[in-house]
Amino acid sequence: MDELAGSVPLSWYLALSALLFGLGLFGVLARRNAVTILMGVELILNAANLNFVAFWRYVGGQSLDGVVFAMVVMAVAACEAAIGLALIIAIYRSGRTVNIDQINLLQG
Amino acid sequence: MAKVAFIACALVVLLGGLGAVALRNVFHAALAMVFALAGVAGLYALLSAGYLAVVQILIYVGAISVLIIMAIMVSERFMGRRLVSLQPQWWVAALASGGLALLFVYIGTSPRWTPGNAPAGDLIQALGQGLVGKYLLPFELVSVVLVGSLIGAIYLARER
Repeated sequence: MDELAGSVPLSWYLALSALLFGLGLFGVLARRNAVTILMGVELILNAANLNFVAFWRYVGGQSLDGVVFAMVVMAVAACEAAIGLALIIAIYRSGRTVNIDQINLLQG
Repeated sequence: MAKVAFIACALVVLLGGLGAVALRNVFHAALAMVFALAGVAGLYALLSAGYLAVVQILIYVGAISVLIIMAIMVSERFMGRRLVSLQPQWWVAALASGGLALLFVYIGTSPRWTPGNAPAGDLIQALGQGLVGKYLLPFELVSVVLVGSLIGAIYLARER
């Protein structure tokens, strides 16, 4: 697999992760449903992870820093998804909506 | 040959991501996100990190996607059909995120990286020795974060 992977330039992976980051950012900014906003955040985290692992593979030397960082990011993303979704469920139970335009009880 | 595999995985990732952020039906968007995450797992395998590809499938496709679909099921029952899924100013978000993505693409593709060899040795064995050796502190901290978020999520979503 190593000889296979060496023929793909690193810049391709960086460009792909940049595009994925842009897609996730658009999902966070432009969506109404709170769950779809969380889906955009997951895309952003995956783009960053892809960057980490691509750099580890191509210019990482012998250290495992990239892979361990990516694993920590995955674990923290799982925690954040769990808490975010618990929040959304709690908000839905009290307000019967997940439209972020209508979740405005703290509006000043 | 690797380029073909990369292009296939990249197409899956980008189309899945596009579906996740643009599809009107929330459930369809969640399924598109599952495709995108599976595509990223394929890219990890192409990057000589096979262990990370399996962990990606386990955590993202197996746990986080199931969580998201469960939250959609809980919250969509009484909302009915939604007419519009994007904010009215979605084109501003598209311009901003597109511009930022193009900037990152330019930053990523302009330098001439000198690629080295793949890190030698078995990844799983090296990770096993590293997680209890050099990377013990992040490992334990992540455990604390996991326990805290577990307790927090149970408390937040409890029946009143």
